[in-house]
Amino acid sequence: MISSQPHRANNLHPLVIDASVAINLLGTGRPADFLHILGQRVIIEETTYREVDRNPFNGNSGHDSLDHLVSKGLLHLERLSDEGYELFLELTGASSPDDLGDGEAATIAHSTIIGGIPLLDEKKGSRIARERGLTVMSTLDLFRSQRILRAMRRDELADTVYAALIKARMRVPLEHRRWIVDLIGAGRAASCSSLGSPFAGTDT
Amino acid sequence: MLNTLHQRDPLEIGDRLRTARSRSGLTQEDASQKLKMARTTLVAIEKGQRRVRADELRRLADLYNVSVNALLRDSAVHADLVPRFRALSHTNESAALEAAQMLNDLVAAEVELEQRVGLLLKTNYPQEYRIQSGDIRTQAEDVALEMRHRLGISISPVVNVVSLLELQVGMRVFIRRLNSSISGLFAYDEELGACMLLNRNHPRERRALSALHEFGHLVSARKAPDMVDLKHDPQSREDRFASCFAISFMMPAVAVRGKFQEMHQESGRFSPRHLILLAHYFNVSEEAMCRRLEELGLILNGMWDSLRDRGFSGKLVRQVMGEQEEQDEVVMPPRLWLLAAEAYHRALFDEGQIAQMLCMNRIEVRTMLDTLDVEGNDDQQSTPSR
Repeated sequence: MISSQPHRANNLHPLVIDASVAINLLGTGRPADFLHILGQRVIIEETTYREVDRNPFNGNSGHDSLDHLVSKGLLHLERLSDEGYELFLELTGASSPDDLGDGEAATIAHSTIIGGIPLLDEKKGSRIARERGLTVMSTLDLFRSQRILRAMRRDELADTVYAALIKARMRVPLEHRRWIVDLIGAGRAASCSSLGSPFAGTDT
Repeated sequence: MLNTLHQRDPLEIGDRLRTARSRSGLTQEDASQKLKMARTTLVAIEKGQRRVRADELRRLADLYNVSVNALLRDSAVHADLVPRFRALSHTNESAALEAAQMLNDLVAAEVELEQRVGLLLKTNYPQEYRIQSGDIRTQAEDVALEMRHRLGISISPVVNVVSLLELQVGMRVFIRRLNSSISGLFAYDEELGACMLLNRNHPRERRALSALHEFGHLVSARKAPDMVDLKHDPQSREDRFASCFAISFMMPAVAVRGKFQEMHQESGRFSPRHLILLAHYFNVSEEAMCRRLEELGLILNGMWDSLRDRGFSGKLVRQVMGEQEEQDEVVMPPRLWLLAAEAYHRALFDEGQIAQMLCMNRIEVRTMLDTLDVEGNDDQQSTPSR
């Protein structure tokens, strides 16, 4: 979450998505719509792309879906520069517990090199990116961005977010749970295992 | 970073690269040709005589399709078990080798998780039983009953064999989809303990018997020379003991006789309906139950074949009883599940790392984590970023 500008994507910087975020977007069933509405340059690094590729998505290969987004110019497939790869090695080879998996390390390294904003859903990667001075966003920040909220009807957004919860089992940090439950409704929220305990995080 | 590779032991990195190459099915010659690298350079890197450079590591990792984090991670564990197969003779070699590699990967992952989380495996292995000359079945029946008493379950039905073996005996149990001709793999190592891999493609009842078969190996011949011999006679004395042990453990003769007499006395006969109930009670398939009753002389020999020929199937009944596993259901032994969730909760590993280590896709990892609600009690991402 960006504390200074909550739920607002920064148009000046490209967004670099991690595998976890890419899987959530694919889970919505409307990744192209989302990326189109965002109207920003959204990038996926090759290593991350391959990680998504290894995750068959509900019978459809994530590869096909990402391919489609890339071919439409909505998602940009980029490769780490040599300088970026040095940073990638630093991140993947850091001492425990600061070492990162390949996808997250590539996302952070590429963001650093190109001056982008990494989209990460996991606390470990987010912490390390912040420690390196990066602004970090998450899938939920995208869903709650002003552009999305303005462009999509509430029921439309609710259906889309619900699809990500069911199909991609999108993980939801505690501070977003109340918003999610209000958006999709308590009935549907009860069927989302990724929202955890029905009481967790919804009383704040 | 140059420093990252310079901080690594070249021997260790070289060894991991050699393993990765070997697993990708490439010879040194193949790899060096594809990378347009002198073979002597590759040999030197693999032997740790020369440090791998960043650009070389990138090309090697891409070629071998291996995680760079797995190559560099200081806590990564390498397991080199040679499993004993419980497989049919027509198992193809590549499927067997793939399964053996999977077992090694999973054991390495579990040991690494244990070390990082700080929950080391507690074993409670029985003393090894030396198979005597004489009737194997009788020996297996006696030893199985002794093991049941040792585990405090007397002659009660066993509801969850995997949990019992994992949590009370301290065996490492993994369940993954394998070639259908493989029931399970077993390996024992003084340091890593007793390890088994069961086939997720087989029904739960069959997996339970496979797991107990492997327990039978731990009980009777854990230190016997490990050997992957796909053509070995499945009816070797050692294997027959393990098979009889599994059946006796799951369906102790004394308990089966007791339940059978009870049903017979109540109804004055023993019908297929009783067979279904008895199989349900002992958590086994109708076929396994029927064959056990035949073996104990409680029903006529050939009864199962006759029932099967008449189209008998307990499948429908089991569906009604809600016992059918969903095909896409994630089946994860409890201990590994808890270790992975704890590691994730404590941010020791991220989702991608866990998926890579446990040979799962991310949706499966998320499903596993959801079940334990690992987000429920933490403060993930609550710290605002700049």
